[in-house]
Amino acid sequence: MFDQLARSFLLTEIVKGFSLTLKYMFFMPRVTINYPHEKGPISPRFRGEHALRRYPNGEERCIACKLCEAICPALAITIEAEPREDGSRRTTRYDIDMTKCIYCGLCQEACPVDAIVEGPNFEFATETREELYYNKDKLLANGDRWEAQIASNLAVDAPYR
Amino acid sequence: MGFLKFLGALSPAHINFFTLTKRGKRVGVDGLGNIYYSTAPRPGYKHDRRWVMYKGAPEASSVPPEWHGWLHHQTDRVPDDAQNAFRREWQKPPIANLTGTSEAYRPPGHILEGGTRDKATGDYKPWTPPE
Repeated sequence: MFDQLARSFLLTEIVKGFSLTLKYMFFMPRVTINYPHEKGPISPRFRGEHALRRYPNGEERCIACKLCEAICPALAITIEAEPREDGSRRTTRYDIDMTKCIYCGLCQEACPVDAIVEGPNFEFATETREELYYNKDKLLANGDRWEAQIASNLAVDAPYR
Repeated sequence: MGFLKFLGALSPAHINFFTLTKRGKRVGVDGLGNIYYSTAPRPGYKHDRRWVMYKGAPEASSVPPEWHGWLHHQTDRVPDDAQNAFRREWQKPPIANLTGTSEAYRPPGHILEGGTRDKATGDYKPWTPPE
């Protein structure tokens, strides 16, 4: 009874709380960063926005084996395929519904030719849902824009796989 | 106008102040004119402190892929076009996130992209309800 009364009059809990606040304000290492200017560290294995890659000669890698479609736990990938004019098997449709994707990375693990990868970009938030229904052109364009960093990350990670 | 810009009309004043006081070493400039700095690690951190001063409005997605890895501490290699072995001639120039503009990506079948979708190729059988 007396103990509770003394605490409420002397405001010890508030003092304790503010001392913790002051400790983090002045005496502890900062944990915040200035985001648009300064960015947090991410791993070379970071799984962000998807991209379809090309071979160094510019030929698209995807051979329409549909392993990524089969393994996708969220059923986000839709593939339709038929032979191209030159006889090679390619996709005619490669859609990823980014609103379904859970960024587990199983598609890039399943891919035998390193075609579908999850790139390092995570700043692809959109204002509407429909902008997140990616088709093959969008995925290939992502690959063409991010290839330098995707390839360097894969090279860094290769010894550990 | 330049003074207003310095005070943070376009860029937070803190990072400008920080760039001056922490004696950031200017690491390089990318193709868009964004300037990259680095300085010693903060107390309690192992990696050095890296930041970018954007040209124009601070738009996080306007960091090009070459510098993206360096800025995110994925690599310590400072990008240099001459030394970048991964650059291919079919690569496209980087663009920022275009959402909210008229150039934003829209899937085929969107009403502003014509509104007609490709037909499915008979890859699957449509379900018909049982009698």
